Amino acid sequence: MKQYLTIKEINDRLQATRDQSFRKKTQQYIDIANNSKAHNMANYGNGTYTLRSPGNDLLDFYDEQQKSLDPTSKAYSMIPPSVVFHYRFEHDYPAELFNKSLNYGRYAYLRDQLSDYHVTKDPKDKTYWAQVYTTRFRWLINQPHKEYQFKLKADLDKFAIEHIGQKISGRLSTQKSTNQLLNEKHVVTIWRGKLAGWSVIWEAD
Amino acid sequence: MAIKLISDKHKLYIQEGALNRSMLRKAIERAIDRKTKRDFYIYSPPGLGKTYTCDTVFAEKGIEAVELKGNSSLFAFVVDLAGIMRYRNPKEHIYLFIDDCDNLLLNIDSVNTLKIGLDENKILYNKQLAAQYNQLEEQQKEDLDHYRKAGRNGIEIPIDNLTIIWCSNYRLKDASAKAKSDNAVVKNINEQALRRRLNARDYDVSGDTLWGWIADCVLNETPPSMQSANTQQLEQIVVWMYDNWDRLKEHNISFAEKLYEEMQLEPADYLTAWEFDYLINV
Repeated sequence: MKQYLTIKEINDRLQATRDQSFRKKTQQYIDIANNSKAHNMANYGNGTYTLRSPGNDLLDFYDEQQKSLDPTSKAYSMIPPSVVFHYRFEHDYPAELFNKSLNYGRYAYLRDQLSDYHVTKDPKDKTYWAQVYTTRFRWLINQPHKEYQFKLKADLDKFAIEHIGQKISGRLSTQKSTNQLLNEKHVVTIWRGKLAGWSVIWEAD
Repeated sequence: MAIKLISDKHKLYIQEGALNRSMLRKAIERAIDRKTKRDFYIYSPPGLGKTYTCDTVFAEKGIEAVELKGNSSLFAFVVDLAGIMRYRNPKEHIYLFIDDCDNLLLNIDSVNTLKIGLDENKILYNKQLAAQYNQLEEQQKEDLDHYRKAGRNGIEIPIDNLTIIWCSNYRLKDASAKAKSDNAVVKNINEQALRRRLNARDYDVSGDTLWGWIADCVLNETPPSMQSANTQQLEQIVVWMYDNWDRLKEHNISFAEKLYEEMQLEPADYLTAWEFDYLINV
């Protein structure tokens, strides 16, 4: 048996659905407003952008950033930047051990055991690991980094184009990142192009 | 400054206004008594008490009507209609009061749909629903699905045993209307067809007759917010409106209510307030 409603109940039902959809719609508008607020905050102030050039004092930072990357992305590397840096700039390959004129080839038996990390500053060394440690993260340098600070995203972009020749990636102003901006400090590291190794940090005032 | 009151030259217009208002009331009463087969379409300029008289007549007759107000599109109308018709008792006669139905008549499509609907006693909405359908509440989706046929996009809602009272500030075009573009010609033809299927009443008042309407309403059927005023005050408001008619910012009943509010707030100096705030400066 089908149940019919009275006119009053029909009117109430209509009103209820109207209220419901009204609430939904206002929530949508609030969301849009919040997004644009976040976008404005990211682009027009209430915080400072710090642009940092590559440097040997930021190795821990690079390692952390690498961990947060998706392993399937091209920028991801199984060998962390600090290891690459170590073998490229700090590790001294024991070349004297295998210098026959000094020790009559006494340590030649070690050569096989050390073959796993044959890394040298010698440009003639074309072994696999030597290539890995020289070609990966080319931007790593043995100097401390430099910092530049900006109030506006526009200034940041202008500086990047003028001095480095590449625009900062738009990720800072997309919805996802700007929602994060409202709550926490926001970090972007760039792994490719002319800006590779540079990083931008946004912090609220 | 001397207070101006109603004189003989005003009375003619007030009588005319009273006649117009009584005709409007009669039209609504006839619609409710179902004296005519066709639904009533009532047009007048805004703010002359269409909604108010409808509500009072419904209350006097002890009838409850389903009310739809200011629908934004034909689709919204169809969704609401589905919600109404699904749960009502089909053996009982019901009244649907559509207030401010101007937006329903904006497009050729919607006018056409209503035209066919009134002919066949069912509203046929033959459009793809995908995008609009997804935005609806679940309750509304269920209502629409109830009237959907398998394998078809369209919706078919029967409207038997239903009297619709249309109120609008939009005048349906008649044969005298001129159109500039081809599109407008088609729309005019459709609106004329809709007019034939409805009992269209145009209260196309302006100038002195419009003033007479407002004055009659204020003096003889005083709005609730002006009940505390005496006749002298009411007459003064109305005559002041007549004298400054061309410079008034609005021409409706609630404008008189605003003037009375000002009168109560500043009993000593209300005339200057009227001058400054309620007239267009030339």
